[in-house]
Amino acid sequence: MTPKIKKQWFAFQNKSIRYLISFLGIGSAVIFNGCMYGSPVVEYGTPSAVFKVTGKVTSKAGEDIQGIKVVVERGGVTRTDGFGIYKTDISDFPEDQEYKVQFMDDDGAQNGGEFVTLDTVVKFTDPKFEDGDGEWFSGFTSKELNVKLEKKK
Amino acid sequence: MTSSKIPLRKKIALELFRKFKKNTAVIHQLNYIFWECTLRCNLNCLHCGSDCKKEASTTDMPINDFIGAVDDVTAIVEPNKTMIVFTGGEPLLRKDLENCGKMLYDRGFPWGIVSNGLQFTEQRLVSLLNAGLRAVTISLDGLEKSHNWLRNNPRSFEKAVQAIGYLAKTDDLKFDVVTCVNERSFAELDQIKQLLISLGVKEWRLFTIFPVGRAKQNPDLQLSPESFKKVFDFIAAERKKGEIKINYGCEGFLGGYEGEVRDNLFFCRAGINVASVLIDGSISACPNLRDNFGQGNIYKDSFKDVWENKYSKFRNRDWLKTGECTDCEFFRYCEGNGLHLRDEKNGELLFCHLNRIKEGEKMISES
Repeated sequence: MTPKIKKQWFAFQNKSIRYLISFLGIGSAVIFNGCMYGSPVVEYGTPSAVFKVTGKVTSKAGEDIQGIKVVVERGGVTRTDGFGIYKTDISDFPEDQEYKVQFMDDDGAQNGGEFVTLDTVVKFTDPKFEDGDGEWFSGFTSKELNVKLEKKK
Repeated sequence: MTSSKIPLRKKIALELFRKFKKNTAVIHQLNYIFWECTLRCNLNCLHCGSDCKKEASTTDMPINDFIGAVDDVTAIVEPNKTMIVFTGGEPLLRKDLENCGKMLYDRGFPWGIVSNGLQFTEQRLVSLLNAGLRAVTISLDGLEKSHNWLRNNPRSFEKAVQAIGYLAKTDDLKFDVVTCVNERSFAELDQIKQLLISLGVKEWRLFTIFPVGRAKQNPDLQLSPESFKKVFDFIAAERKKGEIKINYGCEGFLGGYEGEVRDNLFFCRAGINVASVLIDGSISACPNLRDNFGQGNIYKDSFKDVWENKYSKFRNRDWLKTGECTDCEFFRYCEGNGLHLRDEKNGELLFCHLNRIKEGEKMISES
């Protein structure tokens, strides 16, 4: 095996290991997060893209729910508005991405009663980007994630 | 959560990750280059172990010397996937930073800086962005009193917060805040978090000061074992809340805390993916790996040749199985901690994160 083919083989193995580790729920375990004193995440410095996640949160009965806390992995925290709508942006490397999303009712009985927390995932597969700068910024891509929350019994 | 209990699922992941690390060491793809562009610094921090001074006797490296080394190594890297980070000293003391940044930008390299924020102005930021700046790390080591104490300057907190404010509002910039946790700032972690969130910061990294150099002489700089363990509990709890993306720094195998307090499992990539060009031209791995860790010098050697043919002690860490690592059951995952925590002269381990956490767990359980 030539050194080049050997390296390609190891790179292939690493890609598989990355998926296996993710499958085990250790998340992005093989991301390189920079070094001590170093700037963060090499891969995110550039190229980059913005992944937009938007959606509507309703009850099983179809009523809009205001004030639901939406925690998007790497996207921070936002809340639904009076129409149950939420929006968040994530800056990331322009390739297939997957983010954990949690919908949590932390305002008690306000806004239509208490709802059960929902954990889910939003996947960007083969994303198409728009409005890039033709250089390092690939542009924007978006996904709609609408959810229905169940009332606590 | 405890450090010694590692669930089966995580053990399987760690075993897989061992293979990943070994493969990565063979692939040996350079994708992160530090440039120690100056030793001059506008602060005199209590915990600083470097030789930095306001007027360093070592002159700054000329830009063209560094660019020459980058051009030499370009044949074996993908510029767009290779981050170049200016470190120091305080990089912003160089007035010609933008010239170097623009030359890197023209070659397709992303670049970033690590700064204390003291010299950051809105105008300078615009100027750096125009030269292709893509990533910034700012240090904030506590609330005002604690930060100014550690940084040894009454205005350092105000200036760092001002810089953070500018940077948090800047689009398309990878930006994070780094906090070196000591016994004073440990008590303030929750307030620091609130401050950062209010400033619009999305990413926060915590480090702990290890008892070496000046930090060894000053007990205020060291975390007690209990506080040390509690730092990891704090990070794990905050990651679940998700209000801010929080990570522990790159160092230390953390046993049961692996996968809970940072995005990645422990992997010291020094010399595996990371190289440094130090102020005197030395080619090393991380900027804090000097002396015996040097692999060549850009004034005598080809950076490309050095990367391709040297770095054996970084790629195979078996030689680090000495001292307290000799009988450690976790050496297979840890490989002797980060190389910056090994003595530059004899390679001895200076600090073990896992043992310190265990010490903290024991003290807490006995109290």
